[in-house]
Amino acid sequence: MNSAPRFRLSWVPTLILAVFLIPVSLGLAGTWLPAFGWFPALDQTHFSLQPWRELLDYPGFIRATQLTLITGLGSAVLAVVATLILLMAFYPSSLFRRLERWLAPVLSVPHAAFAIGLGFLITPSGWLMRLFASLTGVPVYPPNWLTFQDPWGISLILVLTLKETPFLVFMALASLPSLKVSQTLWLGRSLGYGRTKIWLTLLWPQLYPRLRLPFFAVAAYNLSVVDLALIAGPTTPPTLAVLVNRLFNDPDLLLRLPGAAGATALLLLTVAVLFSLRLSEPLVRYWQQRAVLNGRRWRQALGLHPLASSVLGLGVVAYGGALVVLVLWSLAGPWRFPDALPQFDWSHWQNAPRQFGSALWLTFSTGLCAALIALILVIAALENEVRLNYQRRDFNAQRLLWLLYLPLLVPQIAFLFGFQVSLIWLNLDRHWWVLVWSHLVFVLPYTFLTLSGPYRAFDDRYSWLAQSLSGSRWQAWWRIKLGMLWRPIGYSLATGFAVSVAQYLPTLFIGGGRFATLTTEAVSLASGSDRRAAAVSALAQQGLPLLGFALAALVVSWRYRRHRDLQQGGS
Amino acid sequence: MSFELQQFSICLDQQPLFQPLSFQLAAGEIATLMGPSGSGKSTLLAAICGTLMPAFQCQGDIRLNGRDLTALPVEDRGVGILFQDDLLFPHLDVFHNLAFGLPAGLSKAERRVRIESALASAGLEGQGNRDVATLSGGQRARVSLLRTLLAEPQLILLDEPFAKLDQQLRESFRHWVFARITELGIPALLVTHDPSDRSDNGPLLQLIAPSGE
Amino acid sequence: MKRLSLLFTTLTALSCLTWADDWQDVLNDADGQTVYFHAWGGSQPINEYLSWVADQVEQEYGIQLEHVKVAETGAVVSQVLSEKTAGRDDNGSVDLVWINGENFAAMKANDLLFGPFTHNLPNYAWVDTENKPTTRFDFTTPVDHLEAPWGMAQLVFMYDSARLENAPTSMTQLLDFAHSNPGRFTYPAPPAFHGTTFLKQALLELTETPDALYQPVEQADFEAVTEPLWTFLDEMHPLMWRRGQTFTNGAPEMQRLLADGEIVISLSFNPNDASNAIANGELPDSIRTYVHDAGSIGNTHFVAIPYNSSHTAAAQVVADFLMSPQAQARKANTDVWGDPTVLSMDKLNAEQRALFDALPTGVATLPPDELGSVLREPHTSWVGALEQAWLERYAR
Repeated sequence: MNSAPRFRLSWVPTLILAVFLIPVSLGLAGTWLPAFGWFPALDQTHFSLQPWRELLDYPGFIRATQLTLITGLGSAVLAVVATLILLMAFYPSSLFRRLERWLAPVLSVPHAAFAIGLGFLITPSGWLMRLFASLTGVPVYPPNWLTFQDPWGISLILVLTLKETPFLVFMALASLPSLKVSQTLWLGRSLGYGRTKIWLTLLWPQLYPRLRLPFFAVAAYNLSVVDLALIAGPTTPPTLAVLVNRLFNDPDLLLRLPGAAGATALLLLTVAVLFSLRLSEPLVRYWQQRAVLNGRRWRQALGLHPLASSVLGLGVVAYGGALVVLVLWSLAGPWRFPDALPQFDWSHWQNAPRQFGSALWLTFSTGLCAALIALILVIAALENEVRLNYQRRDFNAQRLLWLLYLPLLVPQIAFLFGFQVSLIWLNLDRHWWVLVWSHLVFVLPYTFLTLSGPYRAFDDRYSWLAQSLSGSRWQAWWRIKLGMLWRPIGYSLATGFAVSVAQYLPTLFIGGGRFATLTTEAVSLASGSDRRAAAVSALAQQGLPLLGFALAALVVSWRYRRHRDLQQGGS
Repeated sequence: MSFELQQFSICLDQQPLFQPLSFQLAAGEIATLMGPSGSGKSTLLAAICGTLMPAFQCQGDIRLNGRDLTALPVEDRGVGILFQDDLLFPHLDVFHNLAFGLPAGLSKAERRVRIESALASAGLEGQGNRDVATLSGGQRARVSLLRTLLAEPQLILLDEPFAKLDQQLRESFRHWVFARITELGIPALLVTHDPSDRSDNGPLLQLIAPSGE
Repeated sequence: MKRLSLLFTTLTALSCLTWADDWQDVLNDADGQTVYFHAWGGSQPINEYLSWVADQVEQEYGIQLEHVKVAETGAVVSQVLSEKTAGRDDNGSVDLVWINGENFAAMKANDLLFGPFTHNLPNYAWVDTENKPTTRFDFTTPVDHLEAPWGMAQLVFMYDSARLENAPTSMTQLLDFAHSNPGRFTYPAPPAFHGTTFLKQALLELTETPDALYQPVEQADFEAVTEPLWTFLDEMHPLMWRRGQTFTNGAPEMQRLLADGEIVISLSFNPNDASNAIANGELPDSIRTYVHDAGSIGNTHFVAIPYNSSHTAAAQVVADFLMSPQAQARKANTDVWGDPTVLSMDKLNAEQRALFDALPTGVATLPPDELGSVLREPHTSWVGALEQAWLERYAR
């Protein structure tokens, strides 16, 4: 093999690591220093444990930590269980193939918009109650029920679970084709086993290792989420992330020190949770092996189908309902309880172009750039990996690529504050390319996550064949490999774009607030009282990534319009 | 022990895949089913197993030891299958792979005895704790069949199980498979492309394209 | 005190004459500069008002005004603090910030502000510094010309007159209301700004020693002074919205609950809020404004220039424009925003006064005589202490 391209590609993993390890490590250092009492701008210049003592004494800290554990871990585990239930009941089936097509738009729904929509669905003055009340005439006024933002975190768990399950299903779908699911099910059933047992003891153990990273990312995200917890979480006290965020923004500037300690505590908590999840895996494996040995067939799938159907139904109602509610609000004039429908008023949309014009362009260009750069880097890294597979070398940066997922596992709040200071110190803030860079930190791992499965599963024999036919490695790669991988590439590009569009804190921190994207507009409008303006901006924020997914799907099906084998999913 | 197909045919979009098929197998008999690619061999196996896609419709009877199979779910049919791929579970060792085939309700000791004797029959004595990835191709194939047999099926389907093995291995494995089946005394149906795979103890069946095509 | 303020006014008036040339220099410098104005972006009417301001200052002074829409002012303070931490003492990101109270006190105490500068602004001469002492003392912190008064605020309550005949006139009556209408009142959880203000209002009404609140909290017997407040809240919480098990995060969310009919009484810092929200369809037109007989807490909100602003000249010009009779009158219009003016009608000439006289009266706006007396904000140090005590009791 011609060795020149290998040298050109081999620096890619190093570059990728540099792209985001620098911000994360700068950011962590910049947070840890104040956590231990060093904050020269506030005349705090000797190290001490005082910030930690203040944090421990801060009212509600203990309860906030408990709540964080319950909601974060609980929702992540529930999301995995829901994913498993859906797979057990419905995969593979035509229902699942239809479901697959709906996943992309569902994934592009911004977290905050979803939570707001869901909130307006299920609160006592929400749409469900309005529908009921307008049909039956009772109640006249919204009842005083605690259905949202309950102090136990139930509604937050619900929102987080609903938000993360589609992501895990999406990630599972990327891995399942390589697991021979149908044959295993066939084999298992011919041995007399029911679906539940086959999935739990045979398929899940093979799927889980591939789902571990997304699962851990979900757990880390759920532990440290701020915006969703503000909307759907408990308030007295809130979760730890919200508490820390509050400390960071408190008028009493010295509270930033316990705030930094809190951010670090959140990081420690996340690390501890991920470690214990990892350590509990052998327990699950032990149970699985026991279940294999006992030979019981579990033919009666007790309530699996009804359960899975209700999970699915809940998802459909939540997503569909949240969307309908947002659309209704964006078109609403006055809308009083218990009217099922508002008086319509288009004026909020008429203002939108003037209001969001420049934000739209910035969001679009930043997202596209970040997604494209991420795509190029990821493809280069994956291609480099393929080439390394054919040589044996003891060390290479490729092995360190798992670090790529660090930004997904480290709570944003634990490093963005420090990152901001570092950028200002290096005089790098306020540049548009730095904004792209900061988005890249989060876009890259998702692009890697979505593309690596199909790319690694590509049958290399096609490449060899093409190379021998065309005599050009480049031609073989460009025309054959990429030619066959349009679908996953299109989807990971759209995913990257959606991830960039959704970034709030990085955008805010990089530009000192100067970079106004659809998301920053949406968040600032969501802090106001006018639901209609908030709904318009949430829909605009949601529409852009959706457009990306639709475009990706459209281009791919146009490209493959004459190739039946490439039309349905997979690579 | 007997297996019987009567005037059995499968349709896709109202089009039959092959002419109606009838045959009967006694215990220990191994029928060989041949036919060109795309003639519906694998579809027929799926129909017997009970894993046919809903798009297909079957007509006729499938009877195993007097029971009509057509209405039964896969799990209750007692039909074992061996694929071209061995489908050994990569996350389980040899012992656990085999244990998966065993019926429930066995004592620990009983389990051990049965698996050990199965392993012995394959020349793998005492290798239960091996990672399946370290087995050779022939060993994998044997473990795969043993797993199917440990579930005590009343009929075994062999879906081109020799196709991936090299010539020498193929022959010895085939002998070994046929010997095991004869030993157990259950009927078997072998699908193959290769006439030399054929068993002497049982009929040779051909899937014939429906007339008019 | 009075003499002092007179002195200030005289000085200010004088400065306008003698430093006119200096002001011309500022105007010259400002021409062509860009001002990043960090201001809360949660309200469409306010956003639209600021885009009108941007058009005006561009036409009149050649200044490019960019409204950086923020979700909370604390984030802006953080930004400036980060810049100071990183050693960026000029060329900062924030040129102008909408601010008051604790945030101002914090920025002032940590030398994060530019100035003093307001006494150099021509339009500062119209500010009613005599009768509106909160333009000089922001939550008791002396303003010292470090921030320019922008608008007046007074804590008012809103109620739905379709569901409640007589609005409460005191905290005790509010409790009675809660007894007979359980679940129909709430307040934002401190340390949210409006929640803390509610605590202060309740404390001022309920405590037997209100004077103590105007001294640093360290000098008071906190337990004794606040005892009646906690007794009141302990009784109130189980009667509140969601039985006090959860709270709203601010006045905007309260307003949504009021619009949805979940609560019947809400609160705001802008006496014209209800009128403005009725005008744009957010609230039903049965909403009315009321205040307690004892008067209610009032304060002023300001704009300030961070110490490292890149364009202090243009920032001053914008701050000056925001105080101009023209801009203040437009702001006070309930159809636009409805934010009360900081200017003194007595100081304006007839033509300027006519701008204000021509303003429509909002349907839910109280006439000045019904707005009651303004209670001064307690000493800044009470804020932290009250919040801490509240969190200890109700958010553990």
